Amino acid sequence: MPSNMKTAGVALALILIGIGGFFLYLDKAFPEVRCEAAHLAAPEGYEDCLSCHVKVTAQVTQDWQESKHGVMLVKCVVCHGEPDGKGSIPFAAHPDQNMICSRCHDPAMQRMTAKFGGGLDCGTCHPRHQTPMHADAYQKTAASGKTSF
Amino acid sequence: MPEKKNTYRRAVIAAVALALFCGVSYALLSATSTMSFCSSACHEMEEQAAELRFSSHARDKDGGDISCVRCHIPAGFGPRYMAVKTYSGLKDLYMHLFRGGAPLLRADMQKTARRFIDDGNCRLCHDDLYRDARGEQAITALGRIAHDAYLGKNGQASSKCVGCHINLAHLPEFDRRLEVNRLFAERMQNNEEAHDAE
Repeated sequence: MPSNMKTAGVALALILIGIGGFFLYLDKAFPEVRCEAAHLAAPEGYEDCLSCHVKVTAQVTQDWQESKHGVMLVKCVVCHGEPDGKGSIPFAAHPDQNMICSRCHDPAMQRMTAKFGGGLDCGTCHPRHQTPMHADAYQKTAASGKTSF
Repeated sequence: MPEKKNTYRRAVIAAVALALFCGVSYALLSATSTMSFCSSACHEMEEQAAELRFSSHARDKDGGDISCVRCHIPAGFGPRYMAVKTYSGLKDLYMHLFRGGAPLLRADMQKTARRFIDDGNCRLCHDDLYRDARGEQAITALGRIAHDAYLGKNGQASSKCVGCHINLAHLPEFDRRLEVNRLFAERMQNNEEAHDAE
């Protein structure tokens, strides 16, 4: 092999190693997603989902907090499972609704299925985090029209 | 003897080249780290620079203006500085050349920006985490609990400073509704109203 080709090969290898090393360092020194890292790195730290998610998914957290699920303190893990995969609920950002909702709402779901037939996802009509206490559906059951929110 | 002279000459040339390289690098690094470079040279960060003026981080504890790099690039000339400077510089160049003029997706930008905010930069001013930057006022009880966790005294926190302290210097439209940003949002609102009235 001619020596200039050898030099070029070495130079190319060094450049590639340099670029690879740069991104490796960047990834290690500045982790891309800190909260996901928290899920994996600190098993005792992720019990409190809300402390992180109130910042990283503020809208979802607020919707939950204002919803009936939030007011009744149906916590994240009840539907989303735990990050370490323990417990009977699989850890998922988008849980299987037929399986999750029926754990509490089975009687109502059976009535709805009998009345309207099945087939739809629960969330099509009942957005999980977005059924606020002050929504129309809730106000129908209010005692009088005088109460204004 | 001629060989020795040659080595000597080479060493001098190498030293001069190194000094020149360092000098030019320093000049370029400094020139591309100025406020005006970020906010007006390519016009991308004008909005962010405008927001900064109404934030709690417009001025530092000594009353001096805070520029972009004071927070966005790690302090000093160490590997952390070089890594972030290189990465964000190339990213900004790419965005300017190939995505110039397109509206900036601020929710996506927040992720990248927060990733590279170095805690060391915050601590240059916020040395005592139990008092404000000027050291005059003690922080709230809730703040003490949180900072205990940050310092590892009580539990552990893997989130960095900006993991909790969001919208310190910039406030996109969609974050104005948050209670923690009320004062910042009011200041910006007042400015916009004053601007409209003119």
